[in-house]
Amino acid sequence: MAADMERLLGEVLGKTLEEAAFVFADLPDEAPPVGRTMVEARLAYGGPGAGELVLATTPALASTLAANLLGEDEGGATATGDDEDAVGELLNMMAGTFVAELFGPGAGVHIGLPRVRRVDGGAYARSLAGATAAVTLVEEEGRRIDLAAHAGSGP
Amino acid sequence: MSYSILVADDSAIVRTMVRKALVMAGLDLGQVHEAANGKEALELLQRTWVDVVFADVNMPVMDGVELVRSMRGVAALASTPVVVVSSERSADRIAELNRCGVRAFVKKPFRPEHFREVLEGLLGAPGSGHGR
Repeated sequence: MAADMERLLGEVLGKTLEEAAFVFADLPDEAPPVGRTMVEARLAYGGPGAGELVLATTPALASTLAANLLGEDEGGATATGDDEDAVGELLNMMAGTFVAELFGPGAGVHIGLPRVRRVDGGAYARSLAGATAAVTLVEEEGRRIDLAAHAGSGP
Repeated sequence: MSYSILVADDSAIVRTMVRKALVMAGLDLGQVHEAANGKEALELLQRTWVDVVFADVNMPVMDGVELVRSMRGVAALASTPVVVVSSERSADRIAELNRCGVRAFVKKPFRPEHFREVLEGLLGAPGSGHGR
């Protein structure tokens, strides 16, 4: 179950990054360490299957994602909050596909609203270690982005 | 002839993305209004003419389903076309939106051509003379 979920997380993460943000990321041989600070988005899903999805990346990649979503140059995303908004919205996109693939579109599983914040890297790493399933991808510049599922912790 | 549009989504980045996608789709845009939730959207619709509403489903305060239901209860808004722009894949939620009279869906992540296809179905070819 965890292996299937990990494969699905990897597919959803890679495809959404590519289609929405034009970021190409792959499974690394060895993932770079978690940043001192991470931009973390959490989104609960509930119904016949419940849980929580967590998307997290470094502030630098979050800025790149925001710029790419908007088709603009990087630079102002941190000041405007677009970097956090981008991570939350990408998680929202991923969640729709994830629950439909995992439970089926007719299962009546609903997704909640993303909650985004900056978190300490150490605390984030401990939370990631407790996930039911997780995947880390690395983009062309070597920056990591994680998508994790915590089954049973939704509403 | 240009269209007056309302984009309702709690994400500012998505509102900007939708606006850009509509321009790239070739729609002749007049005023583009924005709302961060269904309640803000409804308040704006009650004082401003809008040709098409693009609304997310999952929003705080008032979600997209409640927005569409509320619009259908107001005579002046009952026939305003609503396009749902969402990552929602739940069949029962989509069926519920269809029952409320939602005319079209654009799935996130989207591309400008998705808006073009939807608008052609809804309004005719962009720039064909509808709107005002």
